[in-house]
Amino acid sequence: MGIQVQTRPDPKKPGQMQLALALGGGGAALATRGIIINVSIGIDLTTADALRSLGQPIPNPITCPALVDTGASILAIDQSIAQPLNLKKRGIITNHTANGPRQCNLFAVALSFPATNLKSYDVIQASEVDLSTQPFKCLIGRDVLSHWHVHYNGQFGTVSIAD
Amino acid sequence: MTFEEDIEYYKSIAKDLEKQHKGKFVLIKDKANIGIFSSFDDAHKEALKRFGNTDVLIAQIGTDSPLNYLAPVV
Repeated sequence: MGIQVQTRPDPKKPGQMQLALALGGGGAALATRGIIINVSIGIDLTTADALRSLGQPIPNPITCPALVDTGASILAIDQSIAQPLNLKKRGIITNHTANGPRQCNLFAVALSFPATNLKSYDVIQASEVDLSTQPFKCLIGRDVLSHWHVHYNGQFGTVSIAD
Repeated sequence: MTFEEDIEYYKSIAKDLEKQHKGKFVLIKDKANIGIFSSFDDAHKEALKRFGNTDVLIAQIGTDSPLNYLAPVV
């Protein structure tokens, strides 16, 4: 069952649009899978400018499914995203996982939401995590959620997002 | 010098930095304090300007790590 994405007028903010997701399968599917949307991850704009000025190639952004995760403080990306983008380390963060705390690398990336009108981020921190066994390759954390209004209708299996 | 050595270096100076720069961002490269910045973005820009696209440590001084529970990660 595919995800149907629609934009529609935000009833509470005249002139603004909100993203509406019909995840397919009703409330049970939403409860099972959570909120998964497509994102595009690329190197951040500052780094892209620096590479461009040096005549160096800029890796193409990667589009992948992302889980909205209120447990994550910041954006997290799988190693399969970080490596082809040749991201350079910018720090560390401690992630608490089922296997205990883990020290993970931090990167700077650009984040956007294809086929939506949600705000893009030119430079945002991202933690490297292992999502190799998951159907999504990115976690959208509270740093992005702090800019969003999310309505989760568990009974009908629909989600709307506005920023 | 390695990124891991820069992390150890930061840990050794973190308490001293906290006295004057709590909440700000320090840029560390090759076990040297390159500068203190108001934002991550500013430190990131300076790192690119000085060192090009390479690993550096940017740490926010004296702040607790945010709670970060990654349930799907095993």
